[in-house]
Order: sequence, then structure tokens, then C-alpha cells
Amino acid sequence: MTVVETPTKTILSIKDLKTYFPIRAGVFRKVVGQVHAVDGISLDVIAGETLGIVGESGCGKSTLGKSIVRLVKPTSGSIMFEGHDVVTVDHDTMQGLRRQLQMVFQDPYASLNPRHPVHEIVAEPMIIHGTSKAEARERAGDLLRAVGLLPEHGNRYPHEFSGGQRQRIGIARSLALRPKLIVLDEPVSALDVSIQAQVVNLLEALQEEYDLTYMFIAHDLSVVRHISDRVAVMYLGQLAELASRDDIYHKPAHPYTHSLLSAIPVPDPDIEAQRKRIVLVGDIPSPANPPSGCRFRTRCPIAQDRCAAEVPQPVEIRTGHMVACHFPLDEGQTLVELVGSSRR
Amino acid sequence: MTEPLLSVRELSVDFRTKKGYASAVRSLTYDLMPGESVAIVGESGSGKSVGALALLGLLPGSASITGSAVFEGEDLLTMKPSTLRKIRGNRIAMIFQDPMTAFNPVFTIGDQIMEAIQIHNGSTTDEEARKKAISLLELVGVPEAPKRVDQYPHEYSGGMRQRAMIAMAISNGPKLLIADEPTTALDVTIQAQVMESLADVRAETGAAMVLITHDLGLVANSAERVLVMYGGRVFERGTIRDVFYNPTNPYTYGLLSSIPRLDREEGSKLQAIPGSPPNIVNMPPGCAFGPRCGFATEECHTSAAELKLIMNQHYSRCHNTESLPFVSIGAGA
Amino acid sequence: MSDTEARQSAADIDGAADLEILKEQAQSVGVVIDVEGLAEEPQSFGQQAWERFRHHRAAMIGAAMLLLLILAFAIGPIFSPFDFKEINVLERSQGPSFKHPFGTDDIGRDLMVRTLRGGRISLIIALVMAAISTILGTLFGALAGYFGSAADAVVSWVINLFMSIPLLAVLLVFGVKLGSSPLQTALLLAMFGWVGTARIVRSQFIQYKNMEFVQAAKASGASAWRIIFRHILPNTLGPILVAATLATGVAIILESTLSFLSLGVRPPTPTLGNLVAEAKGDVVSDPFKLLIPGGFITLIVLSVNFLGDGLRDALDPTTRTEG
Repeated sequence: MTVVETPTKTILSIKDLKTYFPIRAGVFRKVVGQVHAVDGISLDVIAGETLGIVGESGCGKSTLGKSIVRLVKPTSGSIMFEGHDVVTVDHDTMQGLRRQLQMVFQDPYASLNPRHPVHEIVAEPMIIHGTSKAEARERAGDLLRAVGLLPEHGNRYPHEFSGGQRQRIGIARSLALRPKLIVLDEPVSALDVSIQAQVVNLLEALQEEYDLTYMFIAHDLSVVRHISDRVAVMYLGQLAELASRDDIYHKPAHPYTHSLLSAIPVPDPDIEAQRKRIVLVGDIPSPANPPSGCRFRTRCPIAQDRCAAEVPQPVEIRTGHMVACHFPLDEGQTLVELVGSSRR
Repeated sequence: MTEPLLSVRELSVDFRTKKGYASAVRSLTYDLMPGESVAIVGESGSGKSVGALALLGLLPGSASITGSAVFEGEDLLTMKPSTLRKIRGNRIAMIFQDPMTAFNPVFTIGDQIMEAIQIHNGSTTDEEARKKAISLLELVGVPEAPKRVDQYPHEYSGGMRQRAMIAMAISNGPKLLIADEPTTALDVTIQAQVMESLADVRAETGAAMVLITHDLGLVANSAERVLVMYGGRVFERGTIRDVFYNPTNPYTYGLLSSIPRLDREEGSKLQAIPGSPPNIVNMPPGCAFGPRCGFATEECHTSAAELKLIMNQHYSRCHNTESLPFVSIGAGA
Repeated sequence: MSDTEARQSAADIDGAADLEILKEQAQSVGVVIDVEGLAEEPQSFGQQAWERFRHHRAAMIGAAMLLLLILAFAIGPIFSPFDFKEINVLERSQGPSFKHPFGTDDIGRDLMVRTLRGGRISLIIALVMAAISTILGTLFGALAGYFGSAADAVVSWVINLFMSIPLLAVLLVFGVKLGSSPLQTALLLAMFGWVGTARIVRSQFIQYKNMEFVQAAKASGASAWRIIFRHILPNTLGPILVAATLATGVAIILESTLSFLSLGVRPPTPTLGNLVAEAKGDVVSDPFKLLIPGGFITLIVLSVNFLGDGLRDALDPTTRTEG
């Protein structure tokens, strides 16, 4: 039997993380501005859980994931993992941390090198970290089997596989180093509807089998709800709301979470026919030039003067339920009740 | 009974490839009543887009098209290209997935909408056309339309561009809108805006719509009837209530049970459909869904089923409809 | 695993019974097995590229022509009874005859052996130049494209500088001083030839370095060296080879131009350019003396360009024989 651990052992701790990208212009590539991709995120990831990160384009969810595995270099803040700060750690220590910290990418067509046979793709992380070629190849076969492919398929090239099969290969590669935490960056959004469920089920089975912790980044709230234990909602580089899965979906407090949930059509004609929907006005502002105060205020149907003046700090409104909003909604309250269903 | 606006019969599309003919669409048949909205759902390779592009003569030359598609008494498929051009963008308008490539980057949005108006109504003056362009942009919810009419496509956000495309599509009061994955490239909150614009526009103009999508939620939200396509064939056809509440085809059933749903309590595991959608160049013998179907019998692997009437306008393509455990004929609506 | 073994195991897994067992095993641990839709025979990228190349008519003609030319240049002179330096004043300025199929020059040297010999030297110069400029261009292009920032600024600046210098003027100036032996001529040409390859490789690397498979390699801890050579370079091989064939054609023409202007390889060593230069006085009286070396220049350039076209199509990862 497995040793029972404290239920809330933190495996990864992010404190005030900021990742900015410079905007350059002109002949001398002078820095003329900053894209505030991630702008002050703090959160903990608990061992064994799946933390869902949702948000729309430009919210910085992918940059957050890439910062954790240091595919992009954060500007400031800290990411504590295994006693080291990923933000400042030296190259050699980072090599060691990479074994524990892996990533699965969105596009199964772009994430596998078209010139390498599949067993090489899966074995590569092991070879980089010093496993002998023969052993790496044998383990690659085991990994292919673990994700529902066959070792015999290892000498084929990525283009021979379907999208779902390729994503399985990408997952096998991420497992190669026996990581503790895997950042899944939109792992199913490029797949056909009928394939998504297969991959989600596979991820769940592997999590159990290998004791994995997941950070599941997605824009699809339905998939996130299915797979996550806790969910963080991001908007323009910041955390809007973070809570357990049930709290986010049943007791959302942030008006943005409400709007997101309201925007998703559900495959039920009667519900859709009766549903009162909040349709947000306007576009998502540019992360290069975010609004003052609360980032969401330009589209928020209940924004007030205070929202432009003051940045709302995350507040714990119930155990484990953080909201960054000056006027969070109470349990049972809905945005539609407050402002009426919006017909523009 | 009123005449259908569009009547598609036995539409088949084949592509010549190096490895022989690939059958993209097989015997597609449906009617569209004036003002009605029909959704065509399917995954990649299901033929859902090809079937619509064929109507407008927008397929490459390697496609061979058979069947008929009668629109207001004329067959679109046998029509001269010059006649079809007059219908396209006028009585039938198309909304594409990627609004960035649908607009020419070197002209303003206003210029392009004005051009669309003047192509089909040569007598319209520039001033009238401009006024109309502004009112169209206002109708689809582009803020500050009089100012934004003079902006270039790159100055519009993705959602705004998609609305501008809707404005352009309805500029000549079309009877039929074909929307091919109109919101797939957009964020959910923006998708809601665009779908709302589309609904407003249809309420205003009374245009019928063919909505092509892979999103079952969108179908439930904005169509009256639905065609479920798989491997180039229609697998199920009916009103959205019939298809969503009483699916009679294993593929539809599988699709509906495999997606995680916000409107239901969380189950522990998703009911995944095994395997991958078929490659149209290399279709399985028998039923296209046979290799992935949990209810397949011997017959399914050797012969393809016909689309059969189950009841009252509800059709399904399956050999075993009667014995499927989830089907209760006579129940429901 | 050998080929037959691979085929055997492919047959095994296609066997429905085995597959069922595997599926059951997999399902018991919660993993749905997904192996449908795979082709019978795995095909490597190289095999596919070869398939495409083989069916590319222009490329095959180009390759065959080039092979024939190389063969003729390499072993042709051996079978000739004459040496390329052998002077025979009794047989000066002859037209084509059985004894001298290409005729003789104004001091009685056999033009056939001189043309083949000259073709050999011209082609060697061109290949050496193409090889050097491909290696240099790939190296600098890869460094600039992959590392960006300062490395890119420097390399791009040098590329632009070289591209803004009128090549012929520089060759005229330096050719007198440097260009006298075939090797020197090749080096001189390569000094300018690498720029084109570097530009292509740089843009390819910029395109590939942000692709997800490169990100995945980085996330696994792959070194820059490994990413450049194992991941990106194999994907840019097509454009590099095409650039190399084009460079070969350009080098042949440049060498001819230099030699024609008496700035390339010094006579009596024959090159195709030298032979054209020597023939220029007799264009009217004896056009063959000009047309023959000129024709060889055209043949070589045509065949390498055909070859380049074929390589481009064959190595383009977006064209696939298999869907």
C-alpha cells in the first residue's frame, strides 16, 4: 500500500510571478514597451492534484506554464520546486529539476520532430539525462505501451499517426523521465471531439499509475471541470479566482468566472432555449497596455469607480476559495439577476 | 407546405488524389426552409465543410461533384460560373472560420463592404454604400462604426473582424447564410458575442442559415435541425430535440456521451469512443463508423447501412437501430 | 530490429486475436489502446524523399546528365591519345575531325582533351566553392537564427555588407592578386557565396526554433548544440541542399566570367572559362571553339538547377506521398 501523505503537501509554490516580454521597434530594436503576460501570480500546486488553469487568449496561462518549466525566463518572483527556485536556479541544477518537471504541448502535429522515428522521440529525454541508448529504447517501448500504443510502432515516423495517437506519443515523452509534475498546455484542444475523451481518460489513468501532479491549462471549461481538483481562472496575466472545482462551478464569485460559464453553450436544446446569458461587451484588452485597477473592469457589467482606481487583491472568501474582486458575488447570486440578461 | 429555399439531393464530392479517388461527401440530401437554421456537425474529414463549399462552387478543380442543389428553383451545381457568381455574396453569403484571410489586408473594412454592395448593385453611389456599410457594422455590434469603417482589417480584433465579415455577408440581404465554423478561432466570451450578432442579423433579415461546426453546444444554441456527418455521410438527421434527447445512431450517442458537460453532474470517467475518425482516402469497408462502434455486428463490417427513417423526420444510418439499447422508439418528442 | 522482423511484428499486431488480448490487458489498467489506421509498412522520411525524387522527371534527367558529365570529365582524358598540354604546330587551328573531334587550338593542342580537362577543373572549383559556402553559410546562418540578439545582429550586418558590395568589382580587384590557382579561385568565390546560404538557413532556424518540438527538446534539457544539430538542421536540409546546387551553378558561371576576363585560373591550365576566352578571337571563323565549352557550361548549370528543383520538391516536408 502507498504511504498516506499529508493531504495538502505543496509540490510547487509560485510567489508573485511576473513574466514580461519586451516589445522592440525600430532599427536599433529599442525596447518600447512590455507585454505583461504574467503579472503577479501567486499559487500553490498540491502533490497529486490536477490544477486547472483556464482563461482566454492573452490571459497568460501558457506563459505561466512555460515559466514553470523555464521555457521562458520569468522577470521576477519565485517558483519553488523541490527546494529550488526555478526562476534563479543555475543551469546544472535546472537540468536535475527538469527530470521532475515536464510538459505536454498543444499541437500534436508541431510538437513531434517530423524527422525522428517515434522511439527516438520518446527516448530522447532519457538519453539527454544519461540513460544508455539500449535501455532508453527499451523503456520507450514500455512507455508507448503505457499510453496505448505498441512498442512495434516505435520505428514509424510521426506523420503516420493520427492526431490522437501523436498526442499519446507526446505524453509518453513527457513521462520518460518519471516526472512528478507535468504541465499540460491545452493537450486536447487541437483534437477531434471524439478523440478528446480518450486522451483525457488516458491522462487520468496515468496520473493514478505514476502518482503524477498535473497543471492542466485549457480554455475549455467543460474539460477543465472534468479533470481538475482545483481551478484557477486567469484574466490578463492575473488570477481572478482560485477554488476547488465544485466551488468554481457552483459558487463562482468573480463576475468574470460567471461570464465565462455563461458564455459556454451546452449541448442541451431545452436548457439553451431557456438560458439567460451574460454576453460581455468589448474585446479583451491588450496585455501590453492593461487597464488600471481591476483588469476586468472594462468589460465587467458590475464595475464601479473603485474598480478603476484600486487593484483588487486576492481574498479568501471561504476555505480555499480566493477571489480578486472588490464586489464578489455571493453564493447563489448570479450575474444575470444583477444586471439582466444582456441583449446588447 | 412552403417550398424549400434550398434542396440538396444526393450530393457527392470526390477528390482525385495520387492514390485514387477520395470520397469526401456521399449522397448528402437535405432541405432548408426559408428562415430556418440547420446545423451540420462532424469532426475533421467528415465532409461537413466540403458539402457546403461545393454548393458555392468553391472547391478546387480536382473535385468531381454529382447530385443536385436547387436554390430558389435553380440548380447551383449545373449553373454557369458567371451566374453562380451573381448569387454568391448576394442571395447566398458565406461566413468563414478565419476572418483574417477573408479580408484583403490592403483595403479598409468599409471599402470592402462597399465593394460587396456595389458589385451586385451597380447603381448604388459611394455615399449610399458607405452609409449602408456603417449601418451594417452597427447592426452587428461594431462600436463607433462611423470611425471604424475606415480602419484596416489588422486594426480589428478577431471577434470584431468576424462581425465585420457577418456585416459584409448580409450586405445584400441574402436569403441564405452559410457559416463555416464561424467561431472556432475565437475565445468563448467573444464567441458568445458573435453568435448573438448572428442571431440578431437573422432576426432582422430573415435569412436561413447552414451552420457548420464541431461544437454540439453551439448546435443546441442556434439551430433547429441538425445533420450529424461522419466519414462523408450523414449518420443522423432530425430536429435538435430528437437528436440530442433521443439519438438513434451509435456515433451520435457516443459523441454526446463522450464530451464533458457543464450541465450535468460530474461522472468519474468519460465514455470515450475508441480509435480515430477514418481517413477518406482509405475508408473501411462497410460502415465508416464500424471499426469504432461498440454495437457493430458482422453486417456492419461488410456493408454500409442506408439512411433510414426512424420516425417523423428523424433519420439514422445504422443496421441495428432497433436493437440499440439506448434507443426507445416511440418515446420522447 | 531487422526489416523482416519489423514486418513480422507488424503482421502480428494486425492479427485481430493478439490485438484483442492487448486491448484487454490495456483496458484492465485503464488505458484504451489506439493503434488503428496505421499503414502496413513504416516509411522513413529519407525513403519518402527518395520516392518523390525518383518520380520527379526533371530531377532524374538533371542527375543523369550531371553523372554523365562527371564521368566524362573524370575518365575521358585518360582515353585520349593526347595530353592537354601537348602542342602540335602542324595541326594548328583545325576544325572538328575524326582525329580531333572538337578540333585544335591555335598552337595545335587537342581541344577535346582540353575541354574535358577544363570541365573537370571548372566543376571541381564549383563543387569546392559550393561545399565551403554551404558549410560556412549553414554555420553562420544557424548561429544567427538560433541564438538571435547579438549573434544575429553581427551576422546579419555582415550578410548585408557582403550583399551590398558589387561582387564583380571586388573579384576584378582581388582576382588579379589572388585568383591564379583553381583552389584560390574557389576560395575567392566561396568568400561571397556563403551569404546566400546563410540567409536561407537563418530564416529557417528562426522559423523552427519556436516550434513546439524544439520547445519540447528544451523542456527535456537538450543543449543548444543538440537542438541545432539533431532537431533543426535535419529539417532544414532541403533548403540547404537546394541552395548548394544553386551555388554550384552560380560558381560555374562566375568562374567562367573570371577566367574569361583573365582573372581566374591562369593558362595553360584549361577551364571552361579559359577555353571560351581563348576562342573569342575566332568566333566568326571557327564558332565550334566557342560553342563547345559554352555548351558544357550551359549543360552543367542546367543539370544542377534541375537537380535542385527535384531536391526541393522531394525534401519539402509538406508534400507527402502518404496522407
